[in-house]
Amino acid sequence: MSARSLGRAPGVGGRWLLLAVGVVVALLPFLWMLRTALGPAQSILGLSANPLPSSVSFHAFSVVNSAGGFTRAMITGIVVSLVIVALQLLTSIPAAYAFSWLTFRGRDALFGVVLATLLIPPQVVAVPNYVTVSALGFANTRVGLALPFAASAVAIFLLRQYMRTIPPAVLEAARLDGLGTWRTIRKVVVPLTMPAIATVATFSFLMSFNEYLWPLLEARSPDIATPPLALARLNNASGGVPDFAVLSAAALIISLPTLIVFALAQRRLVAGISGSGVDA
Amino acid sequence: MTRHRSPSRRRAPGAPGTLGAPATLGAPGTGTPGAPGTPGASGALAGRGPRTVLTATALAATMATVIAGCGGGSGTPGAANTASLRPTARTATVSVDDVNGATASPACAAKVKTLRMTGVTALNDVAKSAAAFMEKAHPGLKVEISATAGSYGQVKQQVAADNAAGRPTDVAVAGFDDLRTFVTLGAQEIPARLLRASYDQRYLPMGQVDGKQYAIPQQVSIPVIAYNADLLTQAGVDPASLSTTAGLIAAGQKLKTKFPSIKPIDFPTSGFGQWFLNTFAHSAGGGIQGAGGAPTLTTAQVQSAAQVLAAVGKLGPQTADSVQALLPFAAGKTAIIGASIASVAGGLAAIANGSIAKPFAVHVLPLPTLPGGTQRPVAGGNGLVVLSKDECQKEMADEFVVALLSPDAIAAAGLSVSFLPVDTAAAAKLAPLYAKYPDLGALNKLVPSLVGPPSWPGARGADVPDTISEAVVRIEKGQDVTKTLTATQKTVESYTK
Repeated sequence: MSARSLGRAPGVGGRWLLLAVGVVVALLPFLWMLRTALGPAQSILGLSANPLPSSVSFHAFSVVNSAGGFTRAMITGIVVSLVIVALQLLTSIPAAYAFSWLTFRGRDALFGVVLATLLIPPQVVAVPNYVTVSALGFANTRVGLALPFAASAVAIFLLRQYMRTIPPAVLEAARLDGLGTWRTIRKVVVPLTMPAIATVATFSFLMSFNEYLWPLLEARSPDIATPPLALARLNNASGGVPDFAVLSAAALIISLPTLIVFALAQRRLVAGISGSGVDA
Repeated sequence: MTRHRSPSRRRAPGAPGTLGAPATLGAPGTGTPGAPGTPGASGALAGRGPRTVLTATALAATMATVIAGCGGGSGTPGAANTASLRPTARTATVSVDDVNGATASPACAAKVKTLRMTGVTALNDVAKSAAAFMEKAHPGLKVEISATAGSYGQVKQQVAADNAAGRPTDVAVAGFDDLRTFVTLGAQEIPARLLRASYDQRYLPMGQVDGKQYAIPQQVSIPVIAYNADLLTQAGVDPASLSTTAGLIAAGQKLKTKFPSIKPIDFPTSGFGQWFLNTFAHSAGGGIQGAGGAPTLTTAQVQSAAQVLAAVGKLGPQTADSVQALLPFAAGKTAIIGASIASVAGGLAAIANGSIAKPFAVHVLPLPTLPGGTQRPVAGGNGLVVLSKDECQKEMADEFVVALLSPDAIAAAGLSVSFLPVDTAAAAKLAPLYAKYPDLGALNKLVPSLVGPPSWPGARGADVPDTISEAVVRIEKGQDVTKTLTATQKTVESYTK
């Protein structure tokens, strides 16, 4: 080993150590959730440092499965989240294109207004949204769960940033080839923006699936409860003594769709994020 | 008219740029349950081909399906212990026939098609029984129950949102602390004729605001202490000494010396802090609210009560959440805890059946009194309020409230959540429960000395309980009692003006 390699070794080792600590810190809650779900009831109270449970049982998963409406809540959560993803892409892609490449009076000011909405906490708009959704007749419906998230300022912003990195010559060529605005978006812009679209879709799904405040307000019937609401119901219905094995099993099941989506989109996600913050 | 923008300064796709966008997007991910696991999972798959990723996710999905769908199978020793810890709540028999004038008029019954109730999750079973009764008694009526709220605060928010949306709630479960807010939300006075002969009228003052009956108390609780009798015996503590605060602190010191690894006393602070403080103070004749409704945190009684909580704090850190305090106690890691009577039945059952840890002898007592004081526990809990403004909606809502207060419904709820029974017939039905847990039955004898919960006026009156609980936390952490109470008095005075 050369002297230079030896000199670099502590630096490399330090980086590995730092990364290892980061991974452990990130994974520990998940591992503990798994351990609690598979272990005996309330084994979490043992405060043991042993990551392996004293005995293994799938009974908590069975309890979750038999708990009224949990499976239905999972289906509702997935369907509503997918609808939200589709709606956001349908609204955000044309909007982002317009803010990127079309010139019209007040465009930048309008984009500023869109960005300004990011500063408004969701709690502030929850009740106005509820009033609107109720007035439209969608209170306590699955449509009402998705409707307020049909457009997203974050998605517009991210896609717009990415679209602005498309070489103008490409769009110019499309125009010379006789493509109109909509066909340019469909045939040229969307394929070139796919990493950002994947990023938007992934984050949109994760946020929608894990949303708690809006479903708490909107989904009053247990029939249309989403997974976070179903988990809260499991906890609240415990009569003051929650079974952490059951809660952990439910949390584990709830986290699987997001894990799968993240795993599927991970590579495009990184590309989308790293390529989107350009020329702000 | 729009036109394509002329080319200007821009970078090539994929070029590194500012971190603004990713940072904006990254934030929502922090709220993802299970998110900590995602980096690891994805990291393991990073750089692999799409097939590897798909295989891994398919495996995960299959595993999830098997786990969620099939469940139960291994039959390991722990499996028997993983049953739900909540005591069984049976279906209740509901009726209004025993209350004259409770049934809505035929005209109103024909007119009203929807009744809306907003409550807390724990009330769901009882509400379902009453809703089924109403829908059967009035064909065509739909009772919509919203029981997703996990707290009284969330009930309040949902009712306010529904009002704003033009979908008014007819019946709501109101925490006693929130009664004034419900009056502003349109709570109607409840006529005395709706009460059954068996309803225990001693609870009625808890549902009153300025002398008017806006709520019928339904679930009433008091603060209690539960102790691990095995640990107390080993430490040489006489349980009888726990009747006074001086005895409680002395017991805590003995327990701390004998069992250094066990928490001697745990009085959960979040929400309960002001309740404990108020109950201790009332045992000496004065609480945190004066006769005129103003806060009285600087009186000698409240100061003495706060000194008790300061002494408890010196024995060790106190848990914030009441459930987080109850579970270690059930696992034998805390000797004495403060709790609500509502969780006693569930807690005793879990300890007795070994669901959490090896069973041990456990007993429940009222909160100790200050030296020379008497038992005057402060009530907590909720009442049913009627918010309907339309006469017919109100008639139907009144009938629904009477149904919800059916003795058998109260008794059924009492099996799983052991509030004080507000109906004497329900109390009689709960005799087997009290025979099983005599400590629980003995607490019913405190009803004559119950003190109503404080009701704070003012624009920010609803913030007073939490503000005082936060002061209790600071006192338990060692802040000066007099200075803290004086400062808090000024703050809550401004809230109640």
